[in-house]
Amino acid sequence: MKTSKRSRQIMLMFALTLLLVSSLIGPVAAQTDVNLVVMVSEGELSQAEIDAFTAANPGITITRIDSDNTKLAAMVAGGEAPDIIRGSGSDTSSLVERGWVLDLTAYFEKSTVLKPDDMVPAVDYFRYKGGWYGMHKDWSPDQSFFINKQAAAEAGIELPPVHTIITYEQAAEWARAMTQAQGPRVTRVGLAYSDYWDGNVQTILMETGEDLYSEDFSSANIKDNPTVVAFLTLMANLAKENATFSPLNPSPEWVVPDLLNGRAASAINGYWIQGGFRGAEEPMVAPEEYVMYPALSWGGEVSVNPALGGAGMFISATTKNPDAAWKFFEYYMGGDPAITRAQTGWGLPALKSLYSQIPTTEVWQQQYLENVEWEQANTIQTPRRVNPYYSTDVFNTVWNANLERYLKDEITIEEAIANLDTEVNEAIAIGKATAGN
Amino acid sequence: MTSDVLPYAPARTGRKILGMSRYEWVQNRWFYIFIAPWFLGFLAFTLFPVTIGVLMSFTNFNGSNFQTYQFVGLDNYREAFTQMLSSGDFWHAVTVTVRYALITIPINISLSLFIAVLLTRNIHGQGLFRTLFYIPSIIPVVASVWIFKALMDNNYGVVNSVLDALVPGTYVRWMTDYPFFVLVMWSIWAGIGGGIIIFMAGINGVPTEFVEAARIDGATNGQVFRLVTTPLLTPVIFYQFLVGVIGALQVMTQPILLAPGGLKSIGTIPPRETYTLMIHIYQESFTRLRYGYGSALLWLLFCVILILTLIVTYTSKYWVYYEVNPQEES
Amino acid sequence: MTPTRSFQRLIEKPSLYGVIIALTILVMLPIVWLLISSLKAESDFMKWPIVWFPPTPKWDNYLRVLTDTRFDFLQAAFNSIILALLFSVPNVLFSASAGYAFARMKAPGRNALFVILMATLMLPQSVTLIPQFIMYSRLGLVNNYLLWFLWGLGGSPFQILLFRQFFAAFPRELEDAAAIDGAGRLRMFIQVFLPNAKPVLSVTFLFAFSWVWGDWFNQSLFLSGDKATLAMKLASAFTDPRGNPIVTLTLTGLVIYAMPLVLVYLLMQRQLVQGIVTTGLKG
Repeated sequence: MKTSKRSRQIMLMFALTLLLVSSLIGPVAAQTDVNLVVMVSEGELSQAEIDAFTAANPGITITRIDSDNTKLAAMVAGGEAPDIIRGSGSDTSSLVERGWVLDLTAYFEKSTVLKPDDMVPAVDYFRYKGGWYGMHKDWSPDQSFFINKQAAAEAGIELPPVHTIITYEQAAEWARAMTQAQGPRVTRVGLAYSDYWDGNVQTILMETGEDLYSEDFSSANIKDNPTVVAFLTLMANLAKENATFSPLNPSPEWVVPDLLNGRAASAINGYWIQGGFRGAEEPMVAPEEYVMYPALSWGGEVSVNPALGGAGMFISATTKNPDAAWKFFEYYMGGDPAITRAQTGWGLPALKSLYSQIPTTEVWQQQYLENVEWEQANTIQTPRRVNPYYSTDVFNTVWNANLERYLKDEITIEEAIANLDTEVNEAIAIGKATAGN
Repeated sequence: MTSDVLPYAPARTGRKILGMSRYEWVQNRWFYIFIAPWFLGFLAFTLFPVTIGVLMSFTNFNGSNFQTYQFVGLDNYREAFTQMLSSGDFWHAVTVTVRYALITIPINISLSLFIAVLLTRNIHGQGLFRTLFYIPSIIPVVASVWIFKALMDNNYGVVNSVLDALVPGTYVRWMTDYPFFVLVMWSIWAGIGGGIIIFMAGINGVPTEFVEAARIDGATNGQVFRLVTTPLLTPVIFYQFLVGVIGALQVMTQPILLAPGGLKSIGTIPPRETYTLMIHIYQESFTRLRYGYGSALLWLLFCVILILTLIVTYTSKYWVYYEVNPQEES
Repeated sequence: MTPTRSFQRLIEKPSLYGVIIALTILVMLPIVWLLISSLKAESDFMKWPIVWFPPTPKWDNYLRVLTDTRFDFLQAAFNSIILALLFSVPNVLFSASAGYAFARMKAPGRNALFVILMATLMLPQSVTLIPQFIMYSRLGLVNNYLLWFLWGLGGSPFQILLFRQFFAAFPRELEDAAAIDGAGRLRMFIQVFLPNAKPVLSVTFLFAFSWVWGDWFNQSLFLSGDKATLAMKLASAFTDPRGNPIVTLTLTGLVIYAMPLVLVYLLMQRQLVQGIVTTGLKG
């Protein structure tokens, strides 16, 4: 009896130690090599791409973690930021103000793969106060207008020729006409709108040279700007009529399946969604049905359609291995992964030399590309001004919360806009106070 | 000092450490050894973080200003109070959380007690029924919340289908218009199981002498329950109530998991109706990057919970009857 | 027994059963629906008006969930198991030792320490989360299973209490008899108390294991990427290669995730109740 208990204890201790050791082996082994922590979602960096890199660069291992803003903030607070961070071009100014990202100008100038004069103008998003902090993995003008030809025909809408600049009012009218419901259940929404509120407002204001923020970014002018008020009211009322998605009638998935499954008849989104169209197997609505127009215009004459930011990568300011991180950065931005991305069409490449890889086999792919090129020549493409003192997430979440209350008739639209104004300005003030140190 | 079992008698010297002589230390060493892992864990995982949390609440730490953060004294707390009184998100979060606690705790306790009573009547299959009621509590939170999310989905949920079958044309947007209701329903469904088991054990555990004594005095079943069983159940009710309050005030996971959308992270924001206090604190800390302010809020919450705990415990002596058992070591 | 009494009894029973069965059905319906839906094809599931039962049960939903390379169910399940074991084993052992000490040993400071223990039982766990996160980041314990092992080492207040109540009921003679045989404290614990604590050991192990199994929050906060566990993976919907959430497959995954736990609890019912009786009732 005694011996068997003894041996059981010993086995238990042994098993415990084994588990303990195995969980420690990870970090220990990694310490002999350089380990880069890359914060990017699996869909944007495949294991195959990671393996190809580590095979070509012995001595560097890669740990991929999922992209998550909350986690990122927490990791930085804990002093263990990831080496490479996937972010949007519009994040640049706030990241630099917080001191989270590294100036890569020197690396770019020396690079043979990522040459400064091979970059598209949109890469300016990643430049701030003289420094250059990253580049796009792909990008596109984000507010083009897609509309379902068949749905339009059913609603009696006569679509104008391509390259016509359509107004928001017009699109809203169409959205109402194309919304379909089965009793109280809305089966198709007229317009699928993505949560780019602050970007959208900015670009409308750019038509007349105005800006959402003051010159030094210390305040936002929302409730006193008639254009902003009119725009938010228009969209809020569209939501009330269930002609767009809203917090009360959320999109079940996201814009690509919404369009392909016929749950939305038109969308304000970017060229990059054609990457999703490309892979579609037997969609309920074929991609050919969707015509792409330039971005909607508020005033009717000028269309503004810069990228709202574009997806890209930064290198952390606190990385312990900047050279290794740059190697990976170069690989991802200029090597095989970049070529693959260009070929799958999830956006336009950041390097002009890769433009030849863009797919144009399908008719609709040609139309979309052609539209993008027209827009680049004929619409305002200047990068929008991004406020460095707060995260644009704040604008969106505050507006969504207030929109929800408006839709439930708890507050008036004026109150909703006033709340937005107050909270955004508060957030900017707080950001400015802590960043100023 | 007790005579503990030792194979030898250690030397007695005159020096005392921590109030104990060397002899006493050696005598008592096993107690401290056995306690050590827990105590060290307490220091490292509870006391130390709590202290840091308190200190952080007096600063304007925002995650990156390790070198440049400033002590702002009570500013964060002052702001918390002014925020609370203005009708902003903070106040809303407080009302949501309080509503949640006030609704779910009484319902959970009374419902589980009621069902426990039903099940402890003389019926067959007590164990089976008890198990079935307990299953929703056993299922991991992620799973049980998903079940409800899919069950009550606006468009594909069974509930809407059933309602439509009964009264054609009914379409209630549960998840977007009444998320609080969905949350409460989930809480009850998943919460009563544990209470049922405990209450059943309590009812079955009433010493038979008491019941027999009452019966001899001519008590009916109802009277036995009211006058014998219930008082003996009060410790259990007290415990359930206390645990319930502490848990309800910190509810956070379930609203996040119930929020519309397929992708869940700890930064997801649920609809306003289920925007609880902890979620607000997390938003302030991780999205608005105000760790100092967030810590202050956490401390206020902690104080509130502490006060409530003390109040409930203090008043418990008026309504909780502890069974006096001479064999119990107290 | 008077005639009215027996008549009362006659009606009482069926109506009692009726109420109980009705309530049981109500509570079980979501579970039943979960099981049925896990066998539906997504197109059937999304139909309006609803398709109550799948025309043919799609058993290969289960196969698909388990073998999908993007979702990596098995890896996540393996991770969950490892993590749960890493926590539960030390948790049970060291909660038992602490509970034993509180129950059977007297020493200066014991009462004070016990008060601290009770206090931590009531401590809202979330209050320490932000500082803990920052602390762990500095120590390299983020995205590291070691953290759970360390947590386990510290025991849990609730488990310690369980053991304390249990061990307190042992008769003094056991220790005296062992002492006469020349056993020291440690031997006494391992060879006398622990073997007799099997029901409580299994219950506390079950509690600890199921806590880790179901804990979405801590795992989401601290783990990422390859180390993701089942709780984390299943919180977000199962998606097809294009990013569309598939609810039926998510439900299938949840069935696989939840059922083992349910089965174990069912098998261990008796010990469970005994464990609760030992502690919770006596306050």
